[in-house]
Amino acid sequence: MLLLSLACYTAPLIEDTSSYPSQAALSGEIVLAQGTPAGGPGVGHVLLYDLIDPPPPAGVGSPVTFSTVAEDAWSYATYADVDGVASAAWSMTNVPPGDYLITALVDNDGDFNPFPGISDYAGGATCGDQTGAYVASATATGPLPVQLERAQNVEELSLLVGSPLTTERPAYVMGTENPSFDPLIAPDPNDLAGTLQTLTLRSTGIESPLLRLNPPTAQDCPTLFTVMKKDLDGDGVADPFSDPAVAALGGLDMWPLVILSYRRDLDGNPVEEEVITQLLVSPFGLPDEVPVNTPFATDTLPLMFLPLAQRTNADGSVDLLSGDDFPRGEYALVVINHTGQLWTTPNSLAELLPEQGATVVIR
Amino acid sequence: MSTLRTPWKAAGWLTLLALALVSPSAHADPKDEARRAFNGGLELIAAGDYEGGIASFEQAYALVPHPVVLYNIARAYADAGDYQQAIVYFEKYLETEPIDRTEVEANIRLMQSRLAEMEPIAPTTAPAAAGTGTGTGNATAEEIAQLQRYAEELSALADTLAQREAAAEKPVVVPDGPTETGPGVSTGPALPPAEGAGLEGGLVEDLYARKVVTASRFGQDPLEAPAAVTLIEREDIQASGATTIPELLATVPGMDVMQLTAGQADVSARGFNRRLSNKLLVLVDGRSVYLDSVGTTLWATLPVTMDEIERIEVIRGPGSAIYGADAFAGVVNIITQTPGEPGAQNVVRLTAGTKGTTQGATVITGRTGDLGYRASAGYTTLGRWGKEIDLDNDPYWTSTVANQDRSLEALTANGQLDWRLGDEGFASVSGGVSDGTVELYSLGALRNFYFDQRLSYVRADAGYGPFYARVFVNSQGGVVGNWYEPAGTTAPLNANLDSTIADATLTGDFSFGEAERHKLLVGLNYRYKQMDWDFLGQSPVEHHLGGYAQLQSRFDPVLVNAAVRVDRHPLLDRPVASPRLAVITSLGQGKALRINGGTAFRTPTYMESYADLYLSTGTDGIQARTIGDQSFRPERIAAFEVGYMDESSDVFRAEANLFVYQVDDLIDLGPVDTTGYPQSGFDPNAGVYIAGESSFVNEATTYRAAGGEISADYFGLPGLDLTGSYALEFINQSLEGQTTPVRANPRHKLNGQVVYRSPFQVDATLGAQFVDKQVWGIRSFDETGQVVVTDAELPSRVVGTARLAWTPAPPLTVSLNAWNWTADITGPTKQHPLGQPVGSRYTASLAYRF
Repeated sequence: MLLLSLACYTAPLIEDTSSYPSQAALSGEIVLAQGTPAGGPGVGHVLLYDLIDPPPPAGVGSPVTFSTVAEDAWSYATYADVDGVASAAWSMTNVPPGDYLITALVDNDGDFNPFPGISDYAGGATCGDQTGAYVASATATGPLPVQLERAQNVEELSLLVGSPLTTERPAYVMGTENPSFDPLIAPDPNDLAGTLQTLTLRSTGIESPLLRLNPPTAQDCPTLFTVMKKDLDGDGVADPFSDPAVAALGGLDMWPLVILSYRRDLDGNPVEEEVITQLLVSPFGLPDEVPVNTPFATDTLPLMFLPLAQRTNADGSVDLLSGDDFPRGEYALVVINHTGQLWTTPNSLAELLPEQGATVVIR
Repeated sequence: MSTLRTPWKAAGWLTLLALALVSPSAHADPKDEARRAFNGGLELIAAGDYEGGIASFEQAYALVPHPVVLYNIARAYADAGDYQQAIVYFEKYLETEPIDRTEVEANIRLMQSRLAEMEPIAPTTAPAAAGTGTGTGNATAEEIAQLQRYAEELSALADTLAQREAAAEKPVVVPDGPTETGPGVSTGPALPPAEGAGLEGGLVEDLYARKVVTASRFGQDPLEAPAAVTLIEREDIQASGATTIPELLATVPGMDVMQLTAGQADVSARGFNRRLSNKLLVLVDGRSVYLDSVGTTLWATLPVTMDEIERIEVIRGPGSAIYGADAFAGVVNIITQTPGEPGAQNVVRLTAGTKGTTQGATVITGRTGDLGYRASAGYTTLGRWGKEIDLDNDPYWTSTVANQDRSLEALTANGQLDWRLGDEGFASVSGGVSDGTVELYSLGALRNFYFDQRLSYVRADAGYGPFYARVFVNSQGGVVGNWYEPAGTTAPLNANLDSTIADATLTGDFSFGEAERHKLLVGLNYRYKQMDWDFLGQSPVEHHLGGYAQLQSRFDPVLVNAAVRVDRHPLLDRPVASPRLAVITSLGQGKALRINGGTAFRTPTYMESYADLYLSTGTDGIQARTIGDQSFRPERIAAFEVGYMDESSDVFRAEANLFVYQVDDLIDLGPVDTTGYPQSGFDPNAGVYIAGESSFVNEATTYRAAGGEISADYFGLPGLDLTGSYALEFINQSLEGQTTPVRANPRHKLNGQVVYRSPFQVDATLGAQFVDKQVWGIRSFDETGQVVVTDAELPSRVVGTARLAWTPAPPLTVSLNAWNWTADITGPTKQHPLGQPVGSRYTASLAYRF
């Protein structure tokens, strides 16, 4: 009996957090409640973003991790009294504890690719894809935060995606070769023509061995800019830009959001500062009869430069920079539609299409 | 008054202790003692001291019973003229079912007839008539005839003595011992024809001699082996208290043994150890147990119990000249007891201990006439050294393994039948099975795996005269997979495995020349391999062919052994030749200098050749594909070695080896190649995006090793065996003109052991192994799926062992064993950076040997 009792044994715990980090896991289903494409859904993607670096249109963040749902995983059932709604189970593991936003993207045309070096031109939703996604809620639209703790297993998260997109990504080329701005020149309302620095973007289809936006063949979604005057207060009048000085110049709160992001100094050295500035969509080139909250498609996008930059410091504080303090150098440009679709230059297509390597220089 | 008595008391205790230590009843290794007594007996008889010689033989028999000793005693009595005692001992010998029964029975009849003739004729009371009767007068014709026969007997005895004196100066041809190529056949009496007194046969010499069969595929003295050889004999196994074979191998100089889990030990010789170590060929009675799936040996799942092992032969250095592929760094041959072998014991043993250790074993063996049999069964459980995850409190992880505290559970069974076919032939059939679950650590970024496995084999051997044939089939099946998986994962990593290996070998063993100074061994081998494994992209069938030849020639005092084997592997573009040459020079009785060199190779495993699996990179939507390659060059090793062995003393044995190696074309997992992959997008077969492909490749690195081993055994003190060894090795790696040391190899290794056998039926063993520090490079994936290598330091370690055994009532033995008790002082230590910290294990055993 003594011998047998010696054999009863509970192995000690030897936590190995390097080999087995205790992470969090999520699971649930993607539901195409707003419609299914004719040929059936494509590959589903569940994307997790850091809460402080949200995805477009709220920000320009990239997912910290993602998981996939294969095409053959979709099934059809009744959802909210609607028959034939496609849904598929998803799961995501190995997520460090933290605060996140969770979205989904269904790539119905098979051109999505999340890899670094490719995602800058292929990592977004294109015409026909379905995005949006929000944790099931009667009122919420868009991604919602998910807070995850160590060793937490969150289940039954329903991600509802919108109907197939009818807009293409706002691919563009710059109307001016090597555009540059001088932050020492402030717009003068009395001499806008002489002091307002502008840049015009021209929408363009992209056809390369790696990506086809608006190919020559018939396509429901031509590559265009979708400009929209916001009226968030519902007074029927386009909202002015949040900065009163800019508003005094006639600036409106409009889509698309156009951001310049500091990349290199004037000597070409990469920079570590997080500095951005916004180019405003110029209202002066738009027809007056464009109603608010209504997308207006245009193949040119006139933009105004505002000599005011924002630097985010390591501690999270924000500094406003202008004049001589405005960092000089090369800036990347990103255009974000109200749909969350965006386009950035420079991007990896520059090897094949040189104009896709364009930057904006602040001198 | 008490103070005056104290010194005397102490002296009294010391005296008693000294007496106990030097008591003639205490003994060192029984086999060594028996050998000394036996050889001493031969010397005494050669000098004419039959009484002394017989007494020595009886002493040897008391230590290690062997029927041939009974034969020698009988023969000695016969040569001395004591036919009655000779008959007694010949009849005892016949009870052991010897193969020379016919000759012995003839001897008995001859002696009985002589005894009958030698009985005194009773005198008559009546006066004899002249010329017609006995008495004080004239002898009768019958009496005269009897006297004449007496005279002839005396003359014959005188001739016998004279011939024996002359024979003592001539070398005696010794029959070869049991071979790996077949189940051992009991050694019988010497082959020389009848001599002297008309009896057949003669005294057997060279009994209890240490023999090794693995180095050359035939039995030979270790002094004449063409490679560095270490024998771990049955007595060593029992004295060590080891519960697993790797624990024994750790005591062999130059061997690298590391435990990653309680159920898995990775073993190599002279460096190049790794997870799923694949550089050692492991045999059980000459049958390969090397797993062709991943190229390793799962020691814990071998269908053999510790109690049926007769000895383990460890060959350090390349062995492909005889064994072909995979005998790269060495060969370990686990030789089991011959069924019905003289001295073999039936055993029932129960062991239980800390860390979830239980072990039960039973071995039944015997012989009926020409049929020998052995059957065994065993059951082992070993608890895990530790659990990486507390599943009860961490809902993130899950496991399909039912018992989270157990690293090994194995049930084994084995059976063998041997038939003697006359004087020159034998046949054997055997089979076994092992069933259970073992925990093991896999390669690369993978960690704990479980393997629910079933191994089985069937085997048939036959030999007649110089020819020998063997066929075996190894089957392996089961499920292997991640021990832990994230809960809710949709792509668990697990796979079904089903493989069959069939092997056929035919050899011929020919001796020729004056005094058979030349020995030629030739052989052919065919191996069939087939595997279904979910980690592979196909289910290939492979046909392997090999042919070998070995010539050993004796030019006293030099022995030359030349061997070559040519192997055809279906995935190698040309056959591989593995030569070996050894020159052994005798430097006097029991001393030899060996110079040898050779090459060996390792063929790609099924995983390396045919793999097609997807591994997580840390991001669920991205995996890296691992694929095999079918255009490898085999791994190659070329070695040169000098060795010296001294067994000239009855109390001391020493060995020293120096070696240099070069290793090329090691096969390892290459970096992730992203060419074409990111752009290819979603992979519908894998259901994820593929970061790239990682393939097994031949490394461009060349490794060069140099080192040496020294070992010594001293058994001159009664009851005491002292053993020690030291191994030193440097390994460098060269790539593109840059040379750096391989820090994952321990530079220094030390072993020491003391065994004491007291006269009070109590034996004690104390041992320790020191392994030097190491630095390993650990591969992992970064967030983009690229491989990164980080250094992990492993401190030096000492593994202490101890055993105390008591035989209160033979054949019952009780023992207490402590393995790695030093971990209770230093704390559990890892033997590989990714392995579990290895702690101590204390066990108690009850063994009944009958």
